[in-house]
Amino acid sequence: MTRFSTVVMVLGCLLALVILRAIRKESVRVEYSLVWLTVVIVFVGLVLSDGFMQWLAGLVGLGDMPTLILLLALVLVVLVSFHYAKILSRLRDDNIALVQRVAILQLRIQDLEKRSSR
Amino acid sequence: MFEGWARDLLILIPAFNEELALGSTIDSIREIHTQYPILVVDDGSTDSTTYIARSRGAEVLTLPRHLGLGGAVQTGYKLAFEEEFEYVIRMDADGQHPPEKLGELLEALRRSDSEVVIGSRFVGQLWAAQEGIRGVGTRLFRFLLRPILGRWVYDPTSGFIGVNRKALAVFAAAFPLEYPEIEMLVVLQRTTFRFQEIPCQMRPRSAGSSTLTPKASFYYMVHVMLGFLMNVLRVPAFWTKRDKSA
Repeated sequence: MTRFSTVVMVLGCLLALVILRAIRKESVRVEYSLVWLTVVIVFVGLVLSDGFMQWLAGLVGLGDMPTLILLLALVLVVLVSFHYAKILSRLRDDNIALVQRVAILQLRIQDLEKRSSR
Repeated sequence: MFEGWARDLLILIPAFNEELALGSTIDSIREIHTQYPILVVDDGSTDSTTYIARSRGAEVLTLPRHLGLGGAVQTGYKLAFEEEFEYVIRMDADGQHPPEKLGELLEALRRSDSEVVIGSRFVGQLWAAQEGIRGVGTRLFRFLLRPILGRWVYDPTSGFIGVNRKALAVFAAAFPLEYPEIEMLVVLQRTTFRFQEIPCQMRPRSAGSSTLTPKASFYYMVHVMLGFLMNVLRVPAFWTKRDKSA
């Protein structure tokens, strides 16, 4: 294992620890942390499989493994970001629907209060 | 709510920080139309918009957060649909839409087979438009919409819009949330709804200033173009057979 692979593995383990700690403190929901944990596992797995990485580096025309790992990291981060963009969009839609519903219900409550006070 | 009002037409006014113009807008509507209720949707204003609307006898739906024009209009559509109104005509809070044309829009909704009617500044005038970047946008969207709709829409950015209950059901469930006018037209085509334009002479703003600065206008164009493109991709009629009567 090269020094670079070792550094990547250590960083991956640290990230996994940070994620697990966040889950334990309930500052991140399990379903959202799963994506990051999957990324860490996939990444560490790739770094460990030296032969496969050499083959892949050759396939995409990259001379050295560190460049390939950086490329893969970039692709994974973009994919995860897009995944969260989708989640954010859905949350915004839900939020708008809730704000609309709250406003309508508030008006109905005011109307009922007005009627009952007569 | 809307006690004593017939569930016929609801006049919908979305408003955001319109304390300067809203009062005179409601007054000018009330001078002509006393038989229809007015619903003001206050889109999270920080001024006295709600107070002014209430003091003029309008029903006020206050949004706890600012949602933008489409979100405010859709909230009004939702309430109107739940309250079983037959027609809704949307007017701007700044007094630009002439209340004397409201009856004509309503008659068009009643008598024609159109689900949507639009108060239009430029009926039959292919090259006429507003000044500046807004005019560029109007002309651009006019030509972009032509192949989608199979006919000209001369004022695609007009907010003076009337809908019947059928369209209300669709828009209450799904409505473009920002800058809704143009995307709404593409939605109409997707749902095979018909629309017609009624000639209208708009007025200048009675007070206040437009939120559409040059920067906002540019964002508007980019945003609407993207939303427009996404809606076009969902229109099966665009790729296959178009209903020419629509």
